[in-house]
Amino acid sequence: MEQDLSKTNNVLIKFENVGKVYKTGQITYEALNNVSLEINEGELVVLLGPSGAGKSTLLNLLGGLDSATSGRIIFAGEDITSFDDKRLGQFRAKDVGIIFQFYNLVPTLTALENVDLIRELGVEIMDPLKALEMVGLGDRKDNFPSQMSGGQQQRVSIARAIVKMPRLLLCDEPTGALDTNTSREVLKLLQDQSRVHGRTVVMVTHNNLFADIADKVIMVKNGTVFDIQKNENPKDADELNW
Amino acid sequence: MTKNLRRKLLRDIRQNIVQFLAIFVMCFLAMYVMESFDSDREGMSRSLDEYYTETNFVDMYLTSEGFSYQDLETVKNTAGVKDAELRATYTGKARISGSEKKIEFNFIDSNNISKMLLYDGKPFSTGEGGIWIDRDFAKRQNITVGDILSLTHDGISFSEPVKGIILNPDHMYFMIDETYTDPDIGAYGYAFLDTSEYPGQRITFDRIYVDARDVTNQFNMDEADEKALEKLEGSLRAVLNVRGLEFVAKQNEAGFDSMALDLESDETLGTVFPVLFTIIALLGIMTTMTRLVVKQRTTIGTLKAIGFSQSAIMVHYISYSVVIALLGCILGAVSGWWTLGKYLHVEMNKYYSAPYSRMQVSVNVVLAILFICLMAGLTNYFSCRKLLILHASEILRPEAPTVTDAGFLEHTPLWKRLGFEARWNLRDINRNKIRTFAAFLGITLCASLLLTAFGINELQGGIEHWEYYELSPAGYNIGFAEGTDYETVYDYARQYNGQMALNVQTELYGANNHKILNVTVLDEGNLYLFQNESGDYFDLPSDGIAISAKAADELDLRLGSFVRFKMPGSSVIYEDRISAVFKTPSAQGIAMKREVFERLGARFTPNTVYTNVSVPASYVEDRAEIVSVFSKEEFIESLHAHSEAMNTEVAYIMVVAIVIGIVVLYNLGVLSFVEKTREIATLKVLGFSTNRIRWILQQQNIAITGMGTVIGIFIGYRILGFLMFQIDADTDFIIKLSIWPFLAAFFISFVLSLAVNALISSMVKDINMVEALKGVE
Repeated sequence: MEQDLSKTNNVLIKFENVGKVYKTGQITYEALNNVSLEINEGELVVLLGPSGAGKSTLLNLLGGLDSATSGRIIFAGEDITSFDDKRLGQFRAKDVGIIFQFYNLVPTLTALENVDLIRELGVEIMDPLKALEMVGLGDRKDNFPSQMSGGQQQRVSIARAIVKMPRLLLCDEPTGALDTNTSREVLKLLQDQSRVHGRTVVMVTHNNLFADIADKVIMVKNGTVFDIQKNENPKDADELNW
Repeated sequence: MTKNLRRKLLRDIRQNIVQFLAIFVMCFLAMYVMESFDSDREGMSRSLDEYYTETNFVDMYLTSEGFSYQDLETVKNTAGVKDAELRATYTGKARISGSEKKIEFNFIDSNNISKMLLYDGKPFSTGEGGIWIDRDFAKRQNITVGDILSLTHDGISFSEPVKGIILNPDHMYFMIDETYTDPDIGAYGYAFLDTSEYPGQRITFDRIYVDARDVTNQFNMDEADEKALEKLEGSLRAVLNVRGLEFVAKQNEAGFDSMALDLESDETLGTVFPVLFTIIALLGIMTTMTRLVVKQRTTIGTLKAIGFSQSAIMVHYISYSVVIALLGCILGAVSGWWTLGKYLHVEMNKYYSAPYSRMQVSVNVVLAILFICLMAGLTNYFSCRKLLILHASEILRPEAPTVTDAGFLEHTPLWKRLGFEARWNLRDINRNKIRTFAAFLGITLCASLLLTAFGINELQGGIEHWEYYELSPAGYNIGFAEGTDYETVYDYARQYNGQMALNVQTELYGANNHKILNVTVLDEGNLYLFQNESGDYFDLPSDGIAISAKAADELDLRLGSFVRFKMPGSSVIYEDRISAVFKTPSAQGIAMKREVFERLGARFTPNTVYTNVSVPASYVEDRAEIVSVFSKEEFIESLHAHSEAMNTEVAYIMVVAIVIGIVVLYNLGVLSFVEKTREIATLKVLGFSTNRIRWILQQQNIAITGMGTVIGIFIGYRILGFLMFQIDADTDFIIKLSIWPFLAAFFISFVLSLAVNALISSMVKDINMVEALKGVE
């Protein structure tokens, strides 16, 4: 088992009565309602819930991809709901790594260039090739996304997220487009980020099984958090079977 | 922009090469045409300014039957006059290598106004003997400093040593007499001598050259300069009492005027077409970038999500079109300079003896390139801005389908009668108004551009027939020496069964200005005809004067108003009502019957006979009273030589217009199809056959192309009218086209658009329904 650097019990993220309402023409839709929660530094958190429950909205607010309609979101002691667009961008650039369900790589850049792209944000990064090697793709650095499998693309996406050594990794259905074996590999990589590198990893999924590898499971339904469970003995990703 | 985004930009451009190539080509052509005309215009204008400044080009000269030294003093003492000089000009001959060449002698006392520019030998000094001869004549006739020239003036032979080889700014566009319709540089010459060298009994000074105090600019005059000259003319008229006094302000001097008109024509051509091309290029940028941004929605969202600032992403996307536009503009300008620009410059130098003549990049071209790039950037900015102001999470969600209200048509009974295809197309148009408008505008511009280009080609090519077969059907034209008496000319008219005419260039007075234009007075006959603005023949009126449409415009006169004119050498001003307006390709001015002219109190002294009977060319050598004999063929040959440059310009523009038309139509066709891919895939999934889908697409295309073509041809016709009026102040056209330019414009824009659509829509069968309907890249 890898060395566990997580669970420092320092609160990294705090949601205080956060709400989010979408308006389209005459129609308003309440995606989140009065959500309060805490996530500690180094934890691997799984956001579980059915489709339309509000998981992705929660993740977007957490990563500064969207702004809350009400309430406060505190990250490392700073209220990110008070940030303007520029400051939010800096927050995402420095502190947040994002992994998407469909990888969202730039199709006209190679694997290495996709990772190296982060250098252009002006933040401190590790060697992009090393990041690729960490996800096992050192030998595919010159391949374009269209020349790689879904699993490989997702690993490039992880390399792109971790190259800047962020405090928070956000993963939106990271295995949603992958087969079982590839999914397990990706989950292992994410778990390592938490356990080995001490990063906070928040993962949105609708797959209940993934709850087993999490330190904390936040259950979302109809825009509210209806349960938060702590997992004292999370499984290794390798042990998952589905 | 940093390394990886630069790579992305280049690879994206490569992936969308057709669209970006179209933008490149349009920017290239816009600046190609502009720089071609502008380099010549700017270089000529600047070089002339230098030449005129260095030689202190005359601000105004006065002509009369003779000036005295007393008149010169009067002029010098008039307010606003800085300096003045007398000049006596005579036409004589120089015997060179056994043959006689025509030469214009200029006898002067001083050389301070319109000074000689010395190339070889010694400068002119008052009282010194010898002759200063023009550079081009000397070169062509192999004359060098120190040669002794045998000269003849008014039957008196004399000889002079060549003291200097010079150029003179008054002789930049120089034709020694009316036997030449265009300058033939070096075939005849001009020379300066001191007045003490005059070989005759008594010298007659026919000119006073004036250097005006308040005229500050040389070639590039402004309104203040022109006003100062007008004021000066008034002052001089008040103090001089001389027979046949005429004033020629510098802007009416032959070389100045001709060059100004040529440069104006360059400016018109170098503006109208680049503006059209630029609009089309910007349209291409708008459609291409809108599509690219839509296609890269997820990438843009991702870049924003991972921390790229809005401005960094904006700069990246703006760079696409700015890079392409900049590249196209610069390469276009460079190519324009080295090809058409060089050609035009060489052509210009065939007619003008301008020593500092050169090509030059003007600030206008730099500004135009910056403007195109700025507009390209702004177009991109507006294409991206709508998306970029959204939150990253919103950008990352697939775009919701456009929600549109049911159009007005859907509430009418007609809607129920429409078939599925019509309804699909109408709703598609309603939901994609910008795309539809872009396609419509593109086709409209192409059709107008094509009609303009084909129209110019036809009108330019039609001048020969119009002038020499329709308006002036005479086979020969005999020109008589100044002072030839009426009876002599009459005898020739009888002998050759011809028509007598008096043709002079003189001052015509309009509503608020006056210009040197043509006066034509015709005796009985049918060898010089007139057409109205519709191209219908009419007889010259017996109750007034006819004026050419272009002269009427220049003098701000219209039917019913009064025009005033003076005959050369006379101070009497004649005035009569304008009773008709005619169109003529050349020789703008007024025309009247002999009876009208005589009724005004003027004496009919014909100097031309038009005839269809063959006239020996040897008359020019053999008979003192005849100065020229031209056959129709010679006129046509001269016209061809004169219009060669214009024909080349038109050919260039036509090729450019056709290339642009094809590129734009193809680009719009591809974009329109790509944008409909999802809808087409949906129809395929529902079971529509490929042919039926292609027919649906073609229906919409026929409607948009049809409307665009018709409106484009209409607009093109208007542009043609404007352009032909502006293109050359001396030349006028009846904007009456045959069916061919219309058919050509229609064929290329409409049929080509349909063909492009048919070609592109053949891709319907290859559309991968699953891929096309996916919500992500």
